[in-house]
Amino acid sequence: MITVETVIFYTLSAIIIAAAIVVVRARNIFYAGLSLAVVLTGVAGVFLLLRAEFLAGMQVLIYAGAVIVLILFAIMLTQGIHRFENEPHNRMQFLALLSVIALSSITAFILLVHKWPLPVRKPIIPVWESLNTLETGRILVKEFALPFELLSVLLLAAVMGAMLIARKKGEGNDGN
Amino acid sequence: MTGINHYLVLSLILFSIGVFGVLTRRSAIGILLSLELMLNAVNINLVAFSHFLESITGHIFAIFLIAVAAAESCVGLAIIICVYRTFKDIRADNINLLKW
Repeated sequence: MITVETVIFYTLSAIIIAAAIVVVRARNIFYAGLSLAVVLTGVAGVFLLLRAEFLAGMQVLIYAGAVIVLILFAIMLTQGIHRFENEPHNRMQFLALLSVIALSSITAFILLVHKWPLPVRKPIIPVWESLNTLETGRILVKEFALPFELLSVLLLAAVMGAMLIARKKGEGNDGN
Repeated sequence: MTGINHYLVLSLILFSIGVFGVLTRRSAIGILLSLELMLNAVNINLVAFSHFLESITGHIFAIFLIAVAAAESCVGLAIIICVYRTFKDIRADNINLLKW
């Protein structure tokens, strides 16, 4: 039985996998960064298919927005947009391909053989009637309130650490 | 009808492509990009299990993972810029000051 959801899933998967291959193979690192944005947006679409509409929004805002801008800035500050690398990959490609195929076939065998103890499915509700955002927000400030606050401390520490690492020596008035 | 195996296989393929990128990329930024692919594969896994097990906890984990990944790429890119200032190069096999 082919439903609309199946068609959307396969289309999204094709887009994600094609863009991911561009990310790891592109000669120009700037194109790799741009196609990473395509992958991240596609993953947001997969989240929508799984009724995680809040996460899909966060994915677009944080990943496809902020992280991509950060990465593109870092590319422009280091290599530049127009510089093509003559040799973007090292000499282990064959070995890497072999080990990746071995890893993925073993994992695929295990997860396709294993029977997941899933509950019987309720009838699937459409995305626009999903209440998962409400549920996520409630549980985030009730049961997971402490990890949530710790996460903000982590983000603050990461931002301060990044500023400290990336600044030029001798900047500021403290004489470092 | 898409079952949980569809999503798991998609996430496995994405993760494998990411591992391949981490192993073969020479540019340190390229390695970081492939790392983001792997983290997204993990996110798909968490949300798929959360959906099919009908428990919302997987969404919370995925939110935490997105935030930790943002912190990681923030610090990682700062380190890359710092290394670029020192070496004028960010190819991972040329940064060998600490190599024995």
